[in-house]
Amino acid sequence: MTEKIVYYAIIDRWANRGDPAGIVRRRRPLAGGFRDEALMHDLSWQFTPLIVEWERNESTDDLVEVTEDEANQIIERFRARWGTPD
Amino acid sequence: MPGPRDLPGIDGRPETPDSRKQTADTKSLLQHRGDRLPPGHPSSPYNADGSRRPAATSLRDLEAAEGADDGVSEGWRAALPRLQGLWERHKERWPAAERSPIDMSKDEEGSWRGDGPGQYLNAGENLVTEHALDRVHDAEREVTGTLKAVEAEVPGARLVGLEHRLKDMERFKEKVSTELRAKPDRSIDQICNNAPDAMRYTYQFSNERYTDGYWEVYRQLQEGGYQIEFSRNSWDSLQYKGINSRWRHPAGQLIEVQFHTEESFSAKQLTHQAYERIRGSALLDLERGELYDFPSEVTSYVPVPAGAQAIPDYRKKET
Repeated sequence: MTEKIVYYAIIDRWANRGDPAGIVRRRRPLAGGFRDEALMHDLSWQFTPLIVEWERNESTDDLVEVTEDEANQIIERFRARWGTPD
Repeated sequence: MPGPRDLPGIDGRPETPDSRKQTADTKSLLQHRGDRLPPGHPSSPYNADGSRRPAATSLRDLEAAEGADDGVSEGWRAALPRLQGLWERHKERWPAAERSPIDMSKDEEGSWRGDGPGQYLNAGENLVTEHALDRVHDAEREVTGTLKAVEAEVPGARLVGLEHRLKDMERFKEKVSTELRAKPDRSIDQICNNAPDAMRYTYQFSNERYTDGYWEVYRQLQEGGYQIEFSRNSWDSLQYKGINSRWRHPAGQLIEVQFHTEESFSAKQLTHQAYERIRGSALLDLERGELYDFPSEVTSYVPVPAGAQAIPDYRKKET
C-alpha cells in the first residue's frame, strides 16, 4: 500500500486544462489525514492552502482533477519552461 | 388592562386607507433620510463600522411574531448546540499551535514575509500589492453604497457581515503570495488585479426568497454597470453551502458577492475558525484530516433552498 495522491490542474482566466497555470496535489499518507502541496518554480512541492480554499469557494480559479499521467505531462511542460533546478 | 392590540393607532385615531398610506409615505421618507445620515448617527440605519442595525420592531410586530416561525429550519436550530460542542471538543483535543516569530533579518528592505512557509513578497511585489489594496479601499465607499441600494430594492435581501467587507493587508498579502508561488508564470499585476475577495459582500435571504433574490440582485448589479466575471454554486458541496460570485466594478475593481441563507451563513461562521486552521501549514496531517470532517458535518444540516442548485456557474474567459 502506498499513499494516495490526487492531482489538480489550476485553471485561471488565462489557462485551460492543456495549459494550466499551475498544479497542486492532495497527499493522503497511510497514517491518516492529508497534506496539500503546490509545484513551485524550482519544481519542488511545497505546502499550499489552495485546494482547501477552492473547496470553501474562496478561489476564483478552478481546480480540475487530472490523472497521474496528465500530471506528469504538465510537470514536464513546466520543467521545460522553467528549466531544471541546480 | 389594554394591550398594544387594543390601541387603534399611535395617537388613538382609527386607521383608514389614507392614514395607512400616509404612514407608509412617512416611513419611506424617514428611511430615505436615515440612509443619508453618517454611519454611527443615532438615527442612521447603519452602525459606525458600516454594519446594518437591526430594524426597529413595533409592538404589534413583536406580538405577531410571538411563537411564529422565524424562517430558520428546525433541523438546523436543533443541531446547532451539538455542532458548537463538536468544535469546542476539537479545540480541547488539538490546542492551537503557537506561532513562531518571523525571521526577516536576511530579507531585502521593503519586502514582506508571512508566517506560512514561503509566504514572501520582494520589495517590488510588496509595493504593487499594497497599491492594489489601496485602490480597493478607495473604491469601497461607492461600492458599499451601491450594494446597500440594491439591498433596499430587493425584497428580503439583507447585507450581513458588512464589518468584514475589506480584507486586511496581511491576509491580502498572504493570498497574493500563495497564488504567486503556485502560478509562477503569472505576474504580480495579474494576481493582484484578480484577487477575488479583497472586497467582499454577503446577501442573505430566507430559504423561500433565496433563488428569486439571487436573480434580482444579479439583475440590479448588472443594471448598475457591474459585470459578472465568475459565479460558483456550492449548494451541492460537502464543505460549504452558498454561491460566491465575482463582479467587476465599472472602475475596474473586482468584488466578491456571496449569497447565503441564514443557515448557510451561520454554518460558514461556525466553521470559519476550523477553515482557518485547515488552510494553515502548522497542523499535523492527522488533525487536518479530522478537522476536514467538521465543516461537512455542519453543512449537512443546512437546508438547500428550492431551485438553488439549478443556478448555473459562470466563468468569463479571456478573449
